[in-house]
Amino acid sequence: MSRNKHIPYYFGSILFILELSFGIWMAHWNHFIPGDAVSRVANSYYVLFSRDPHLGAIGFVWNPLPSLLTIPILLLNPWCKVLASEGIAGIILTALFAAFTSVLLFKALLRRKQPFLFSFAFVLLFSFNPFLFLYGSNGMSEMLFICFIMFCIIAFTDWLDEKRSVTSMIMIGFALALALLTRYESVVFGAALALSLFIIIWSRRRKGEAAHYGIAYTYNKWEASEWIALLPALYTGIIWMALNWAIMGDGLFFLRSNYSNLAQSEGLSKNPTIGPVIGDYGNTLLFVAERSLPFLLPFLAVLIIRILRRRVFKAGFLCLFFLLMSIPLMQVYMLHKGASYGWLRFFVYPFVITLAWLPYELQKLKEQARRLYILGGCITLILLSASAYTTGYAMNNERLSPEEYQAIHYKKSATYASNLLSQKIAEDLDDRLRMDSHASLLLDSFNGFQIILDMDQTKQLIITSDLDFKKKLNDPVNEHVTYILVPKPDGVAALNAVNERYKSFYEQGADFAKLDKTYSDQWRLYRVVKPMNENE
Amino acid sequence: MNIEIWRKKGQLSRLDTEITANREKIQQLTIENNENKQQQRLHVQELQAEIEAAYERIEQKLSEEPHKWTLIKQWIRNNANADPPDFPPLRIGERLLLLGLINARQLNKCLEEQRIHGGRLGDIAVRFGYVDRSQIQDIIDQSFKRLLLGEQLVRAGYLKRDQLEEALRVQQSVGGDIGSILISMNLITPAQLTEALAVQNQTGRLMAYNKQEVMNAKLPEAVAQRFKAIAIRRSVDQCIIAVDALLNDEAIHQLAQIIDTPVTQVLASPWEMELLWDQIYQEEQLHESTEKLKKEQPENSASQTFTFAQIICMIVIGIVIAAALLWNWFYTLVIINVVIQLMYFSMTVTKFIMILYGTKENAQIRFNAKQIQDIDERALPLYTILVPMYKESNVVPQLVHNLDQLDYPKNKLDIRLLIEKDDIEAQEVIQSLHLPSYFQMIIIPEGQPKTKPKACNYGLIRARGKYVVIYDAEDRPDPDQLKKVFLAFQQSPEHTACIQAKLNYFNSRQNLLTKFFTQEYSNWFELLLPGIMQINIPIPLGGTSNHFKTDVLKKLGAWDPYNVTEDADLGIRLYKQNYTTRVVDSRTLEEANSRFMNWIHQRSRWIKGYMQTWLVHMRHPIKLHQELGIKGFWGAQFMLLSSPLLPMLNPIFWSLLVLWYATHAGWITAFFPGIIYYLAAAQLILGNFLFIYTNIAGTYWVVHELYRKKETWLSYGLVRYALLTPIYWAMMSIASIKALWQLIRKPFYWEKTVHGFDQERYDTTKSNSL
Amino acid sequence: MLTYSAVGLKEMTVAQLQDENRQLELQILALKNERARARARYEETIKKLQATREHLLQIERGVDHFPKDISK
Repeated sequence: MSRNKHIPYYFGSILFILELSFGIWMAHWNHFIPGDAVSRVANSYYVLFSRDPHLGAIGFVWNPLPSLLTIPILLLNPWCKVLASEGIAGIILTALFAAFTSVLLFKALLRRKQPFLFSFAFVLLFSFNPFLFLYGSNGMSEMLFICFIMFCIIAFTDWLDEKRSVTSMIMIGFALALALLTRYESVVFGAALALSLFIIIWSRRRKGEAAHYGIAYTYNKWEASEWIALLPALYTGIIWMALNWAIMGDGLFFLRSNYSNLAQSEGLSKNPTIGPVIGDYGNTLLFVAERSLPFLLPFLAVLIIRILRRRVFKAGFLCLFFLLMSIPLMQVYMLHKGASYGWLRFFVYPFVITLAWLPYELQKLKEQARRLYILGGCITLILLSASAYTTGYAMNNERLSPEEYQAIHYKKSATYASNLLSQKIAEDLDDRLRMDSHASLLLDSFNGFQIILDMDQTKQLIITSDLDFKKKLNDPVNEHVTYILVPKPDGVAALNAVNERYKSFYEQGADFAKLDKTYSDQWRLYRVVKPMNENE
Repeated sequence: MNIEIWRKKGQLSRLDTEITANREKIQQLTIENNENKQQQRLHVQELQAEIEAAYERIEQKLSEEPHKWTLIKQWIRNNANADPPDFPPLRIGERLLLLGLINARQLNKCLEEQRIHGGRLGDIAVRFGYVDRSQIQDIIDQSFKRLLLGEQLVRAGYLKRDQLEEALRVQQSVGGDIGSILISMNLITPAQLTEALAVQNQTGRLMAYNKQEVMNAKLPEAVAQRFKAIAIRRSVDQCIIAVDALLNDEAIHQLAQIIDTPVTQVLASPWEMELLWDQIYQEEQLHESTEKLKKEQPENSASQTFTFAQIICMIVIGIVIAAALLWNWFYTLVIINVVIQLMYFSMTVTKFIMILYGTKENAQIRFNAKQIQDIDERALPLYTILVPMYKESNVVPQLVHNLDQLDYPKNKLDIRLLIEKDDIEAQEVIQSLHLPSYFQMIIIPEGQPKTKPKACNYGLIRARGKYVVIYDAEDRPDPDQLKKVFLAFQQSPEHTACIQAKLNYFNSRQNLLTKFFTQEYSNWFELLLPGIMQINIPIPLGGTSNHFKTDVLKKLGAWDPYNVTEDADLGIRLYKQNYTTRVVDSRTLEEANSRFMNWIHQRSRWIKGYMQTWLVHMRHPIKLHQELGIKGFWGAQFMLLSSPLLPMLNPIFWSLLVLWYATHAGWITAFFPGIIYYLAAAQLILGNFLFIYTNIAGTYWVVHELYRKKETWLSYGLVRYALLTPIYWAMMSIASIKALWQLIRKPFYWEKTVHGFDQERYDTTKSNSL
Repeated sequence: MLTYSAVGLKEMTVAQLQDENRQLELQILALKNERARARARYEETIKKLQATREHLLQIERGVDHFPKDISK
């Protein structure tokens, strides 16, 4: 056993290198990286390299953790420009987390007395599942979230065994808080976890010590356990809202701002895939089921094992069920309301939760009946392989997974072209700003992050996260703004701050702004001039 | 209001009747007592007369039958070792009488003298000139047969044979001498034991003494201490000393040389010796318990709070700061703020690291039930328990009960209840309880300072145990604590001088304050303290349940009677001498302070005590650094400074925060340049939360552990109150500001109150958990 | 006002009386202790004296029954 102690770490290191290489290959040579990933890197870039470096520049739309963790990597940016401009920093981060997640799982399997080869196959089927491998290499926040969920569930199953009980609870607490700082799905997941704690403690009220002390004891223990498990996440939420309130003036800014997910999904009703789903529960369920199916196959393994163990209608299984259903149910609700794009990545979590749970389940089976264990193990591996295959199939289907389809067919993707354009614009702007070191350029980083990342003269930029951005936007003339860069107001670009502030600015400019240059009918550069008359 | 008056009236009349009744009772009791004494005296006299008559009768009979007498004499002379047929074993007086060396009248006179002054009968007879020494010696040589002690007691009629056998069985398993076992089983009294011992060893027995005579004969205290002997009477040709364990010939010889007089020893019971010590050497012992540390290690004594150099130093620092403020107040404040922030940050981080260390399983020394059971009780040493108390006589019965619960052979306990001289009530209550003999009441003589450490020092001087522990009167130690400590000492390295048991509170359910206090202690003793010990830096000890090696403690000079937090101070001094302390997994439950104002007083005293201790040890910072090493030095700084400073600084920064949100004034952010801003923010957002969270988790941890061991005195319900910890911090801030205010406003008054002992009871609750 | 000071006065008296009562009770305790001490001392002495008396009676008997001539 001890011989194998270090192998998970070796495996993790190798996985890290593979993910990183793949990610860099995609980003650098194929110029494909999801916009969200770059946007998160850009957020941390503003913190370090904007005109006014401050932590608040990290922005209050995305959950802050992925960007926060990118900051230390970006410290190396002056020596390696691609870290930011191509979003490599984000890739390093996800590759790290992918590796860490696999180590966690590997170690959990070994700790739960699973045979080494079996564990190895198990982890391979997890880490090289096409979806997980892709997300370990593309700088999105999903991998971080997966890691924290994995951590949570493993700690939860440890807690079920009542070994290192308090430590497990603390682990759950911190993992949940970190998850909340990564993705908002943690809220429903946390609720399911809280419910599970209740179910377990309630189901044990007549066992062991609890039997002597009566209901008050059970209640107090439950409440205390919930505090430990949930307090970090609750506190994180409160602090997040407090910061939103203190800096953005609205405690729910992350929900309500122009740029938030909700705002961005407003145009969804016109979307051919999502449109029909809105307001129709039947369609919504179908939509969710279709996308969840590949990720639910391992759950079948747990179900079979439970049947073999004759433990189907037990508290533990009920907990797993709730945990599993939490995030998809939220998706059902959001889709029905028309507040979600229904990307495939929103449905992967049941897969992660089940896999984190399986070591526990397999150990129980092994303790109960050796022969059944071999059967259960085989079924698990088969279903994992099936899941990997079906996931790959779904990812190659444009209707089911537009994002992943794009990644696979990166050559047809529009991202490449837009990246090239951004580089061109950046070069041009750099030239202009270099010539006049007192010149300044205002642009909304919401759409312009790629350009900002490509530029050198960032100290002359006025971007959204700057504390004086609003002031300068409202009065560019007196605030000595030299240039204003705006995107063509198509789709989400209509939410661009300049377009919002000055109607049809892209088309007509304003009396204080004179068109300087148009870039491929995507971006326009205006020069600020003294207006003829003083009324705007 | 009228109702109030009526109520009071009822109370008054009730009190009046009670007082009258009590007065009558006192009269009645006085009369009864006198009558009783009279009767008893008469009875005793009657018996004595009977005995005297018996001697005379025997003499009469013998002289009536001279032939028979001759035969008897012959018999006694010839059969040196065997007693005559039908005779009980003969004592020396009876032998003298039967041999006709002395007549009944003379014998009775000797016996009377012995009753009054003690000593051996033979010696008295010689002194009176009735016989000469050689005759006595002959008789002794011929007839003396050393009996086993138990046998002696049975013969003396003090003990039944089956009782003796039972005691012997106990001795088999417990070990120790039979005398102490018989006493601990309450089968004989200490006086009876001493008498039997005296007979067994053919020495005299201390009967009565004249205090004035003893004072005249007084040996120098050092000599008395060395030989554990007190001179009772001294003349040119003889010095009689009282001892509770006979000295060997060599020691006698040495002593004789020192005082240049032949020495005779008489036996006294340990309890009588204690009284003697108290009467004869009270002044010296009092002096030792208050002045020893001050005299031997003035650098470690808090009898003086500020040294001259320290005052100069403070003035200089004050001037420098003032000058800097005048030069540029803004930069000065920014620099001060940066320094404080860095300090604050490092303290926070250190505290957190310590907690992490403390969660390790082996941070505490743990033993399971099997290991405790496997202890060979015969190997257990004598254990001294010091219980200082002041005006807490109401808890004495409970205390006795709690100490009785201790799973330790009673004959190896030396429990010393330390009572202040003016606490008459406690003295009477203790007497009325007829405590077993292993409880010893020690009365602490009047004298300044009247503090708990002084009482402990006084009790320690004559402690007989190999180990010594302090408990407070209301403490409830786990029954297996002493045994666990014994094991812990056994398996710890030689330089481990102190084992600390964990303290907690039994009244956590009483109110919010006791809940807070319980949480604080749970975290301190279960997590932080074990963590600190892992890192090995100086530890402020808990004021009770710290078990010491007696010799080491004495060598160190024991507690500083002038220090308010003598426990914290002792921790530093232990570390200075390279001794270590460890935590054993055994608890002592105490009563938490449940009233707000009391709590504030107590806490501000502790904070003052910490400042005092810091000032004492920082008189020579460089020397301290040499003595403690880098880690020890900074550890001590952390332990002593974090407690008073953090609560003092907290309100400043909290109010800055509030001010900033209220006004958004730019000058506030200007005080936090660059990275300091983020440091402060991280502290505010993360640090504070982590402390609350560890408080919650720590409490949960302790409760969880307890329930696993089927102990229910803490409830999971306690956990939720940890959310309110900030209230507790605010209270601590109030207390620390009070302490600081007193220090600034009247530093010298402060000294007086610190030394003057200004509250009702000893401030016994522990000061370490700040 | 009058009632108020009356209450105050009463309170003082009550406190005084309580104090006195406590002192008395302490005295009672002390007397009881004294009695117990005397009793214990007395019993010890008596026990010893009785043992001595028995011892002497035995000797007396021994003297009485001592054989007039000793034959080994």
